[in-house]
Amino acid sequence: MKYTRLAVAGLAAAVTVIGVSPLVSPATAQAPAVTTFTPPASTYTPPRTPWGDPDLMGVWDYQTVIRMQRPMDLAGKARFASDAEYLAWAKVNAPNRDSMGAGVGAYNEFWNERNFVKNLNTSLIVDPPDGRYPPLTPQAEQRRKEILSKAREYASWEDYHALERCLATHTPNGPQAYNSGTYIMQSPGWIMIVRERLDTRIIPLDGRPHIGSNIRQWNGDSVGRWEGSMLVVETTNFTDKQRMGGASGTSVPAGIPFGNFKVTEYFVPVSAERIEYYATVEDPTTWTRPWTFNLPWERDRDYRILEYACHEGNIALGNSMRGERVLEAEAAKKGEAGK
Amino acid sequence: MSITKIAGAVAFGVVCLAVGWSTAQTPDQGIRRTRDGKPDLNGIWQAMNTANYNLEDHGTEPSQVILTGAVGAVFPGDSVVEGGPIPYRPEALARREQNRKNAMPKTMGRHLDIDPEVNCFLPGVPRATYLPHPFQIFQSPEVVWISYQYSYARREIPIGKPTEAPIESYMGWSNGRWDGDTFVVDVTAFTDQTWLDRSGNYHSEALHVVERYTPLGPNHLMYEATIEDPKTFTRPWRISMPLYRRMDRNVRLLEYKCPEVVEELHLQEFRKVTQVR
Repeated sequence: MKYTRLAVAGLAAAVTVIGVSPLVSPATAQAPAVTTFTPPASTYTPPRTPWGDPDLMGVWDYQTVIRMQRPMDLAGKARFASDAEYLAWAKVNAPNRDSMGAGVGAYNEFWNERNFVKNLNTSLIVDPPDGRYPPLTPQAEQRRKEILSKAREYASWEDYHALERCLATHTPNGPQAYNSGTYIMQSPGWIMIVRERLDTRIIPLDGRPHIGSNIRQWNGDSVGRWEGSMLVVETTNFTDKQRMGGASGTSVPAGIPFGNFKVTEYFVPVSAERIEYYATVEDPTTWTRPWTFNLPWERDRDYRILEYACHEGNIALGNSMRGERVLEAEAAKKGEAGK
Repeated sequence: MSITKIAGAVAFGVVCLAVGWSTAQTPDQGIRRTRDGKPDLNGIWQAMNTANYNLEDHGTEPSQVILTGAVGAVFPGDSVVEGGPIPYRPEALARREQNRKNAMPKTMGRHLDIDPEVNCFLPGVPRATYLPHPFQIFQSPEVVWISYQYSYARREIPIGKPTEAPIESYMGWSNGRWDGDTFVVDVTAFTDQTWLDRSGNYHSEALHVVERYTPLGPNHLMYEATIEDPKTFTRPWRISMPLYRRMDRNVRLLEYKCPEVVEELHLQEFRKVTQVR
């Protein structure tokens, strides 16, 4: 985090109102055959570590004004024609970005970062080519509705997002509004991705197999390899409890469990200052085809990763649940009185 | 060893030869070194002692939860404190005794006067080192990162360019330097919210810790921590213990996201009770 905005970090998250929005539509037709996504190659050759791996060490950030899905009014237009067109669009469409000095703004506006990484794509999703999530399988759509319906009860801590519980953000990394600084650290045979917010991913590069299938983790289990200057990371062993996008940091629509996900991430260094990050999500039980998003990362030399002591000060989760119980009790009282 | 692993090891060896980087042991002490000649601290390490129960010598004790029987017992261990008992100021010793009585919660809920490990709060330094969990060191000439398996504990330790703490924190603010073959870390800017063990040993926000990591060979480090806190102790004092390289097949840190483990303890009273029909 920037020194000007030191982390109080009492609470990660707003209590997010999760609505059943038509983010994804159920499968209506036979999905077309899909070939494996291959990221565009880069001619840039990064410097090497003393042991010969591409050296990506340091702090990176990936703030963006581009949404996961292509807005309907940009349908058919995969890229902005120029920086000027991108900037003009960003000025009008950046959500919740210009509220300082114009109205009261969002309650958590203070935390929001502003160093957006330029991206001429009109959606983060680059495959399917229409820039939208592919259809869910009918079973997954049914399961998603059940999960979202249950989540609105706030009956248990399990109905809250992992971020609100100070457990985890998401793998793959979606954009998030604040504290998205990410440190890449390397040692022979390993790469570590330190997200300021909660997660430390430690990825072996020695060709070992995944952990045993009984171990299911919030960020899954990652193994990686270098293909030239490109880092490829494959992640499985996600827990089914990792679900419910919709809070800040999401890269998957609300109510979709990660349990069967296979995530393949490609880190393509394209300059000393920029990595093109791609993530392909595959799960035939959930999606009718794999999909891929592309989030550019940019070096940030002024960013120092600070402690994100989230759980230590998280009294909001208990307060939110207590509030729900009070509302239920009041509703029950009214019901009694009306008899 | 599988074929792929053999291939990987061979390939890695070729790369090492090609760039002239060596993990070979020096004949004198068997210390692994990085290319810049410093001891190579990279790897997964763990303490193998009972200091997390109590830094001082302690015998076997029964579990505080009767149902857990011998599984919940306190395992015995000798002191890791050098030169006698921890030199508490008299009033601080009384507080330690109070802490010890209150270390385990008596009721459900989120209590702040108990052992912070029960609440899965960040462990602070030096406790992070001797928790019963491994940790992994990443080392470059400019910086060392230590990532602990416990919760989301981790530290960035810049080398040779001391920086000032912008704010106090559970894990403190670390600055590193080399003293011969010893990696020295100066840690300041703590909160008063962490304990040193499960037995109520504690400190104030005036805590200042100097850690020393000294390789004893390719697979062992000597860990020493000098603990200074004039509000709590009459003089600086020191703990020391060996750290062991984890040699297990395919060893790696796994997720121990203990905030999830304590949700029932902290939040049960707010859970919706659904009538069983």
